[in-house]
Amino acid sequence: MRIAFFADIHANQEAFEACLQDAQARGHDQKVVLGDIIGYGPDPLWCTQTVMALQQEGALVLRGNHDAALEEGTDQMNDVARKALDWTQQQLSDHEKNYLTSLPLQHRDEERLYVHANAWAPALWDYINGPREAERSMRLTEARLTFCGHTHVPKLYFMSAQRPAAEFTPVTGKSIPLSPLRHYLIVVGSVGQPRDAVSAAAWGLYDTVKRDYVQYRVTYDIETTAKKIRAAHLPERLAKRLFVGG
Amino acid sequence: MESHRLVAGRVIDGFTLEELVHTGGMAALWRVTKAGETRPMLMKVPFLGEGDDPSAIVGFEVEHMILPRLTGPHVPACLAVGDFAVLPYLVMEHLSALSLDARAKQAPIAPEDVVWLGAQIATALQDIHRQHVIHFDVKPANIIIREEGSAVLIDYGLARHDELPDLLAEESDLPIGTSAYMAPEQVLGNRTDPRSDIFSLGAVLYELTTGHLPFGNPTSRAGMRQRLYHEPKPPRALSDRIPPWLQEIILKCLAVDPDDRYQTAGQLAHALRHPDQVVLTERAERIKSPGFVKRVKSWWQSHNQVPTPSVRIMDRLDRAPMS
Repeated sequence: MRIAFFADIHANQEAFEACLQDAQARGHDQKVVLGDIIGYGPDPLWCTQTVMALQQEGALVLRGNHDAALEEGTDQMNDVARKALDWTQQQLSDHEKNYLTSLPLQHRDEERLYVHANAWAPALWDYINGPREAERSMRLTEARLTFCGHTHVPKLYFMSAQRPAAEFTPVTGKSIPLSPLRHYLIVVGSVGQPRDAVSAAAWGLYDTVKRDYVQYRVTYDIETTAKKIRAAHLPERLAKRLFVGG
Repeated sequence: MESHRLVAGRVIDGFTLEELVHTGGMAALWRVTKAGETRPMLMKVPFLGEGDDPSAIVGFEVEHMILPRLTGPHVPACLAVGDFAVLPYLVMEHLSALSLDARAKQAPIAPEDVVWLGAQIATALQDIHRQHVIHFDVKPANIIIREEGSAVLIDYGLARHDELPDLLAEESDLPIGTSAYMAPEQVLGNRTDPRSDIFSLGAVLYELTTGHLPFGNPTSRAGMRQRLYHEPKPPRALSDRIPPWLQEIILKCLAVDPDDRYQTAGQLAHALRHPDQVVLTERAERIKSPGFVKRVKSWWQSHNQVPTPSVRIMDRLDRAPMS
């Protein structure tokens, strides 16, 4: 089975469409959306409705901290994120809000765990910023493979039983074989707001038979997204950062 | 485990085990045949049983990842890969020639033969570097010369692929490599520089020309670190048959700072094939070690530069002039 992962879409329609098209062209059997469908971007309604339709077709969809904040509030968020979320609240009906806030925090499928932030406390949204946090997460789940998002930076962490975790930055388009003897934690990277100094949208593909993972990046029409952000009077920084992946 | 129950006659995924040709600490090597396949083939099966050395499997994991990605005459052709979850194995081309280990045991050998061998091995290294791989265990036992003359680098258990996670990165607190041939930066735990292979090849050339290992065969970490501070005895001090230009090449490969070595294996191959173009320095004629202070100075300089982020193999090759 080939599983396509999309994380941190952040209401970016152009980026999400580009990733879905690329995934369609490459072929896959299942979609997993790893949370943060909304927040920051100008198309929360379109992105939410698209994800709802994908779920109808069999996609697995998880809750991220921005999705949860529609209900839980924005206390933990910075100014920019809060402003964007306040604006987002106005764009969604109760139907979409209820959908987003009631999504599951994690999902286990065979040896795989899908979660937005980390395995040790999925609802607290702590970040996996390096091998130490990755190791903590890997040691606190029985799943051998963890797929997550949240940091917006594509990474692959790997660990054998008695050793510390190590870090690797996937090379775009290059297949990475995953050894059955190790634990892995894969941060898929962000569809709608990459932060690794690459502006192209990120998504990932895992093949359960070949046991390999490939990180893909897709260029998209950032100009249009930025115009929409400005037209909605969202903070300027949200438009600018899309061009630099920062 | 499975690997211990392997017996002649057993068929695995269409390959018939014919004869156990080698069994070492890490894996068993079987000569295998398959209907419709005329090439001589070897199957490598790692030991995974209880009580087996757990580090053995790490090397096999690494080779299992890297070997199928390599192509060309300078690697053993990888013909089949076993499913790790069932029975991990690699089937590869069975090279009939012996490794250079036998030649090394007869060293010193004639300088002109060493020059030819060195150029063949450097060409092979250049080819695997071009394919994003650093070998990290270049030594006579891992080099085979085909009948038609090209060199093959075998055993990718310690190798690193530039586009794949380095499974050995956190696997050991000790330097990873073969003590006698390991580059100084490898001793310090750095696994990012293809020029480490050029150092190791320099150690092989030193051994073949002189019959001695440039830094001995230390077993302790302190012993291995000696190469950071002590120049090897100049080859010409051990044999006056060695021409100055060959000594220049060998000592340049063995420079403590990677920036002072040949920057690509292709450049080294070129130098070995065009001795008239080798620029001779003071070290060409040297017959005494320059002493501790000079080496330490060189080491100090190389380790007090602003740290650079890890550099990709291809970036280094792209920057370097090619022969």
